[in-house]
Amino acid sequence: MSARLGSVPTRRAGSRRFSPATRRNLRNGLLFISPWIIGLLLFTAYPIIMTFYYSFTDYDGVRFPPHWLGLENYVTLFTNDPQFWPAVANTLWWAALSVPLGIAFGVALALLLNLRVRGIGIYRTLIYMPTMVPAVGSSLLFLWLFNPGGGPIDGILGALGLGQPGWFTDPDWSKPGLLLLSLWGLGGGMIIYLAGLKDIPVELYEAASIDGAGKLRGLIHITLPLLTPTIFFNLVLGTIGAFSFFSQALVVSTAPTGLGGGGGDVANGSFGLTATPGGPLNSTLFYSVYLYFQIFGNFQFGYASAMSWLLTIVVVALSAAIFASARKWVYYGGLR
Amino acid sequence: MVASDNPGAARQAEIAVPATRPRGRAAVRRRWQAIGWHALLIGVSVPFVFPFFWLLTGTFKPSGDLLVVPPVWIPSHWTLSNVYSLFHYGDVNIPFYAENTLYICAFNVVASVASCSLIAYGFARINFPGRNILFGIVIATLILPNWATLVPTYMVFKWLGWLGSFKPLTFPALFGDAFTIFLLRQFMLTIPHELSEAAYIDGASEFGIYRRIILPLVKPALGVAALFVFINNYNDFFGPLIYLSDSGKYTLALGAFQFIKSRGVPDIGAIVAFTTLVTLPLIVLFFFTQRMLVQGITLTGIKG
Repeated sequence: MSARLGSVPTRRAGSRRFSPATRRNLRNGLLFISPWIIGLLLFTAYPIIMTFYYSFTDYDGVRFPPHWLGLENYVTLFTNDPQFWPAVANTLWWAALSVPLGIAFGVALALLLNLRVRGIGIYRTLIYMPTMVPAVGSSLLFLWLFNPGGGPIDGILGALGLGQPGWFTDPDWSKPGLLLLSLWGLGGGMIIYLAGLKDIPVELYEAASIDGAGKLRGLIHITLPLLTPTIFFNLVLGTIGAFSFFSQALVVSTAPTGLGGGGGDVANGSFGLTATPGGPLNSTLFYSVYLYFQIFGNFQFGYASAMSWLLTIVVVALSAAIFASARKWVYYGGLR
Repeated sequence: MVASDNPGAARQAEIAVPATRPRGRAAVRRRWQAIGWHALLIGVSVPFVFPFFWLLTGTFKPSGDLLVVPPVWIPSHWTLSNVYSLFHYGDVNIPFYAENTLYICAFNVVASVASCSLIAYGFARINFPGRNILFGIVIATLILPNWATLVPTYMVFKWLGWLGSFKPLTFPALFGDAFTIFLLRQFMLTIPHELSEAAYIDGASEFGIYRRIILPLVKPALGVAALFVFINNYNDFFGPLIYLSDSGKYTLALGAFQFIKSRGVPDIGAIVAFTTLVTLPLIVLFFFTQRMLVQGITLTGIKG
């Protein structure tokens, strides 16, 4: 990030490795960041190692030490778990659609909201506003908007003579419904792209228009290339988020069908899950939702640890792949 | 538009006095263009705004208007009965939920800002060996899914006897979080190093420089960080879901979730009121802090 401030240890002939000033900096630096170091050991390093260990055991959160199972959890996941592959498929569907659509619409919105039109700030505010709604709030709101028994969306579709899907009560429409819910929060990405657009020097467009390039060519050859670092950043974070997609899916899939939800887990209001969330028909059983169920419904901590570990590997590998691809399509020249 | 039959004169006027409104055919075209853009912008905004309209009007509709075919667009009469019914469930205690939410948010705002400003200072203002590698680890932890650490973390809190209390939701804030550290570091990097050096020559200690020089200068950034921490904790659904089991300890978000699950026949009116109640505080906060929020997002490229 700041290579020019990078540390250059000065080596003294024959004596200690660092100069007194560097040693003082080292002591002070470590002192200042010590809360983070303790947190890293306590809440990241230790848990990751333990997750790895648990993943080879039948740990249930009670008996310790648990029985060693070797690779059994992983083998079961891949070969003998009827819900694992649907969960993987749902998650891949989600990542493959929500991330590119989010980027495409986000960039398009940012371009539109970058116009110099009077009152543009009002439009920006209105489109950003949904990102402020808490996940539970937006899920409840969309359950109601998309309720097949009296929600306004199906009302409008009906008035237009179009089909009226069952949305979150229908396995074919529950994921598209969630997709619309996530696109409603597009404003968060839009603001970031907008900031990226503002960083593009006007002179570039002026030079291009003198050379006879039109608006469209300016967009393709100036705007989009210069926006790729921002898009890259959003792609990484969006992909990570998509693989951990949880809250909205849990709310809509466990809400009663009378509310337009998936109707899972309504048998009691206590904490024990009596049915798998992710309904209807596993259509919203995303990887994280299934993981949640394995931990807090089945208390299969060992099995869930194997799932967590797999997810971590996939997310880290994907991030690495995106980073590796950056050289091919992310534009870093010119600016800085 | 008198000048429309004399475009040359109009153009001349435009060149001479660019500040005044341009006249002529070009101006007419521009006006139509502006109207076209506004039409497009309004059209695009509708899907983003409509849910708010529906929620707000729904809160004041009689419950008979809420889920009927065809939908009722304008309340048949305005009433507070939904809000009233929400506050009169024996097992739902909104003031408690609000208090719990505020407690968690307040604790974490103070704890996070304190810890993260120290940590960010270390990363931004002290040039120590290994700093860049360690900061790389901070960034790497942003990539790590929550699930990678969840089970053992949960078990540690269980062994400590903290399940069901707020501690699992607040204690980790004392150790900073990657996003806030990143945010504050970005701000601190923009302060010229000469300021620290001058203070150092005057005999100030590192902590003194942090307290007296840097913190006052990054006050706006501390505000942005506090705002993000508040919003994230207010929105947090997963943490309370797994750590809080006693309904007296619910937060607003968790309370709303449990409310829809815990009833055989859902009370749609109360649910709508609850949704509004959960949503409204952040919308209000947003209108007061819009500028700060956008500043933070722009600087980090992360939306909280």
